[in-house]
Amino acid sequence: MKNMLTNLALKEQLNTLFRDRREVMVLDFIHNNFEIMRPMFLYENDVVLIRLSIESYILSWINSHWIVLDQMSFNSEEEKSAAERILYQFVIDFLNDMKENTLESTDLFRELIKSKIDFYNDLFDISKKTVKRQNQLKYSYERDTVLFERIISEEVKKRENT
Amino acid sequence: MEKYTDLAIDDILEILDGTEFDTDVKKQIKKGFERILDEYLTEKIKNRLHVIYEYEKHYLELIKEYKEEIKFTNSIQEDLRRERSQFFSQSLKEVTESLKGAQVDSKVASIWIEELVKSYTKSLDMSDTISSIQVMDTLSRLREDSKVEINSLHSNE
Repeated sequence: MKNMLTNLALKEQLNTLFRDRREVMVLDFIHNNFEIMRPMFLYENDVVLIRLSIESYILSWINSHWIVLDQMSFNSEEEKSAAERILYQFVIDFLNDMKENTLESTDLFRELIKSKIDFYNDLFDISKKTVKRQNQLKYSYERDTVLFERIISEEVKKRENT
Repeated sequence: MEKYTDLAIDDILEILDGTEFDTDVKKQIKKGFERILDEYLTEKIKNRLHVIYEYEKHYLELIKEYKEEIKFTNSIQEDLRRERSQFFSQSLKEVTESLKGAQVDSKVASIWIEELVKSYTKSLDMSDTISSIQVMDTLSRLREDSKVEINSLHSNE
């Protein structure tokens, strides 16, 4: 019975994590979060830049799942690892979709998504140590934000130069 | 089963009738034979009833043991259904109104809202998957536990 409760507790934590992140996303829209509103006006006439802004926001939202997971407490390393694997599946699914829906996106964006997928697959390679994984996840959030800003700036410069 | 037993008894009594035993002796043999058969059948039926009773008792105990888990899983699935319905009937309306109020271009707003719906649904589907895994886990453990008991009851027959 104790094992079942442990599994139930883990599943409840994961459900709470996903539910909270969904709520955050909806509230971002309802409360006109700056990260969403700014590109809506700035790039309203440019589909490529709109798409890039959307993907940037979505990626940042996905990354926030890892941040919340990192703050959760687990009964054991195995439980934490199980939770990470579930989140990894969720993230990979999203990234694969992003990779498919890149009709209006740039080559740089496609490369970023591909490298992100490779990054996660490598990170969750069974042979890798979890401590290393934590550190790599942490710096990847910052890297994503900077890379997206770079991609968007490049696109804006291209338009200014034409 | 009864019909078969009756026929078997009739066959044996017919053979007995064909013998040269005294009528009273034949009657006593028949009575004794019928009594033995009655006792045997009663014992057999009692054993069967006992097996069925033990199985049902064990199954109810399992349900009792898994009750909290079943309730928990049910409530998660109910919450998810409610959340999905609320998102489409309520939250999306609020988002649309908020963007309209902020004077976002309608084409831009619809591209963003489309992405919101996609991402939200994906996340809900993930939560659904986690709760379905829980249901499968519970069912499979229930089945295993009841199988073990059936096997042990059958081996004690």
